Amino acid sequence: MTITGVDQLQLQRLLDLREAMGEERAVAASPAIARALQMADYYLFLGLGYLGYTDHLFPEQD
Amino acid sequence: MTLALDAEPFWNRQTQTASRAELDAIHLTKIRRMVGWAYEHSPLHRKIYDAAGVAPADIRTWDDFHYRLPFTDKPDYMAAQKASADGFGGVALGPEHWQQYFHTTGTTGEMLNEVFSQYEMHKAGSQYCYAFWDYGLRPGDSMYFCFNWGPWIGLWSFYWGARDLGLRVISGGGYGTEERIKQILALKPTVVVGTPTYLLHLAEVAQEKGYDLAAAGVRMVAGGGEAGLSVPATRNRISQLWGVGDMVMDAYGVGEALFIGQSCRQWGGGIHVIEDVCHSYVADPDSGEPLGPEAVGEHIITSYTHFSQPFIKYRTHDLVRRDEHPDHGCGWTFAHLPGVVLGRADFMVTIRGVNVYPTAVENLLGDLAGLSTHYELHISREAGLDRMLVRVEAAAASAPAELAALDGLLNAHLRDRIGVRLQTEVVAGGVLPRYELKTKRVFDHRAQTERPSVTLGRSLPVGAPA
Repeated sequence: MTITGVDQLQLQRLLDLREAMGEERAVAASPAIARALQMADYYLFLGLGYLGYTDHLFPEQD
Repeated sequence: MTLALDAEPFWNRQTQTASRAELDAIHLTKIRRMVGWAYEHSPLHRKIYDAAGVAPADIRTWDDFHYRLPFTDKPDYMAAQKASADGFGGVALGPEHWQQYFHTTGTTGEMLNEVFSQYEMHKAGSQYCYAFWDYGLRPGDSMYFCFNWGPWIGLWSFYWGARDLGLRVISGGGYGTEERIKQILALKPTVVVGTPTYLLHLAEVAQEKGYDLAAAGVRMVAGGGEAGLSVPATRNRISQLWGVGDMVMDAYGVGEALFIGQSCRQWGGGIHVIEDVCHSYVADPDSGEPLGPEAVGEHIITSYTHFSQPFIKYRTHDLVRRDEHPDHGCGWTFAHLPGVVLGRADFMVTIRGVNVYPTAVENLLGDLAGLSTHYELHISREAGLDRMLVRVEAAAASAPAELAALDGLLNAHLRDRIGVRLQTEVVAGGVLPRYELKTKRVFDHRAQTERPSVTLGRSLPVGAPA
């Protein structure tokens, strides 16, 4: 189900960005960087919600 | 967090253990960029720099920074605040970026209005994570706040730190002391945060009323706003009452600049400057000359955390000693301030030629078993000479003869250790006030004209010694 008017291309770009951030987080050079990326994920996930993303309901559901 | 990182001892090893040369190179680059940002966006900074005849491009070396760039001081911001339409001085970002308001609690009687962006609050909070991580805190741990969430930034910034690390925050706001004790016993937080005086007060009330705080299993206490957690006697007393051993964390902050130094678990008798987020050095309060590692002087800071209201080469008026090569075993290379704030440049007391630092007196009070950790220092001027009255509560004694005997011991001890005689008064327990927020311990009763004239000024002359 997609919402009329939602930019599906932007949604896909944000999902790609999220995947790339997750990969970086897995190899983070310090706890500080890992946590910064985790917080960035929370903000990014808000954006996904605004675009009608429903595959996951919250960041920690992965 | 991966398991490998969970075992990593440093929050951010890359900078936290970098060499002094690497740290200083990063500092100089950041300072140059901060000066450029402030010059372009803050009318106050442009005015100060124009008046000194210095432009951002002139600041290329440490000599340029030390000898050409003007100092800034709180009165600069106060004057800009008074002249502004919006009530804020020295701002470099518009109100659409302002997310929270605070004001200084300061000792000067006038409030400086402060604004912070969302990024700045995150960045300020990040300073705590270096220490939290070092003390072994991890997501899943919790932090109890003995704080009513007022306009004092101190424990708010602790809160931001807890959020940045991912700790569970438990608010003690709006509760009285006994209710907080019950909450702590019920919720068993990992850490309890408060001012040192309040942490003492809470534990003492628990004892009086028969609560067993040890049953809460609190692993750590932390706080700031006062010298207490780096004053050995107070620190030991708090550790003993809470049963937390070496898990006592101190923080020293300059709120308006979002500078917040942290103790490490090895402690080493002071706090580390978090050099990822600020620069600090020590200057002679009279001449402005930068001082070497063993000298006590005024703490001058540049914040890389506050961009909406920049603080560059800012005078704190705090007297500190700065160790650029700490070796107390923690592995951090960030500079260390042993004893934290040793006094205030404007509280300096000279008695018969001897500079008496309030912190030196505070440290000596812990040597006498019959005294509590509740005290006040009163500075006055009599017949043209500085005087210091030390008022301390007895731990248990209350009979006049017992108090007089303790007073005699205290007076002799201070004279033996400091080299001059101070006025002393030992009072019964419970006489001195207790505060939830920053406790006022040093009272300067001298007229403004009788206080030390600290003439550090705007900048040293161009071409002063390199």
